[in-house]
Amino acid sequence: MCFEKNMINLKINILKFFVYVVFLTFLNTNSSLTNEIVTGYDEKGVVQRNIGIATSFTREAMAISKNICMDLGFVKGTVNFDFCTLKVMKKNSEINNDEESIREIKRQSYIWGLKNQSFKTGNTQSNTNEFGKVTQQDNKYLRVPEKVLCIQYINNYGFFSESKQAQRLEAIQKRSIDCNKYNDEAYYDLERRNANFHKALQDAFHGIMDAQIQKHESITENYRNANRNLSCSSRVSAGKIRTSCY
Amino acid sequence: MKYFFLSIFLIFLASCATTQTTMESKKIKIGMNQVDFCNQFSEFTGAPCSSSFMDGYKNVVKGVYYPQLAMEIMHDEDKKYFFVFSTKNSSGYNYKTRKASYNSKLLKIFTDFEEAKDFAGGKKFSITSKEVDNALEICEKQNLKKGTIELMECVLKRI
Repeated sequence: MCFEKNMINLKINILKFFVYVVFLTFLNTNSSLTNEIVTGYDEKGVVQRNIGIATSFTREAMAISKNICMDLGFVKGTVNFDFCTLKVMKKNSEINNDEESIREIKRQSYIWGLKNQSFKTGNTQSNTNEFGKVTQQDNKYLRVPEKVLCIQYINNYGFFSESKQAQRLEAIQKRSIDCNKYNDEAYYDLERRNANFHKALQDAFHGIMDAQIQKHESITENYRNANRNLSCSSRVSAGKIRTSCY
Repeated sequence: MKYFFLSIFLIFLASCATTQTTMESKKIKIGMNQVDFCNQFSEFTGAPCSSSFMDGYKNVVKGVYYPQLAMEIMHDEDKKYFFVFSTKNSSGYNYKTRKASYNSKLLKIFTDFEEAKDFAGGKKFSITSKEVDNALEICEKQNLKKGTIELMECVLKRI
């Protein structure tokens, strides 16, 4: 009796141990991998494997590019050295026909370019005098949200951009905004705008094409109608002959 | 009953095995094939070639496969070691069926995932030093000075 009771206790303890192990396994399960990896699923939605995307934008490539730039006479730590490194990496990606890497390098170059322009208010000079009409009263950018203003300024949006830029710069200086922190967002905003523009262009093109197709179809239809044997019927009504065709 | 306790004990022992102990035993060698590699690890949860019950529950698999470069990264549950395989003539390790390939060879072992990804997923650097030297020689003959943007552009155009 006592032996059976001990056995039951032992089994319960073993069960507890397994539950604990399962719980620990659950805790130790790793979260998702980095964004260069795509998860492949089968048609039932069961994960099959993680697919990595090969890239030319690696630390090794950067190290080799830096060495090449040193051979070309650039001094490490200078602006031109960084510029050269990005250029060499871009060239390598172009040779490898690696669109993804070219895009990433373009993004890095954009941010790098902005960093070297420095949108800190202390380093910028106002163009207000050059465009003398700008005054605090009519500068609408003084009320524009900080992020929007910075992105507009960095990407130099709009027609008549020179005068607008002067107004934006004045607003940034007056409000003591450091626009450097919006460099990344500015890049993505520009990319998004470009993508939207291309889509709109594509849509417009398709619209024109659709209109052309419709026009041709209607011409063909008219031509068919013109050549069709009409069936007409005539009748006398109020002393006049009326003919109707269909 | 004796066998029951024995099996529990063995399971307990197997669960004590880790990638660390296998690595310390120096059984893992560069150039070994994937089948031999997987055989070196006991069937403990967390080994590079095994997938846990929770992996199936959470619908995840370990490792990364690079089809463009025929490379594969396998790693343990703790992500302490990353084993990079060249998977020529095979489509990588199948975690569902646990099928390894004799054609996959162990190339390198990393302790950093980013480095492993760079090695396995990084495309070959296509610009050779010979190409750079030749272009540099031509551009310097055009009186372009070293350390200038003009020289860099000239060199890159000629590569």
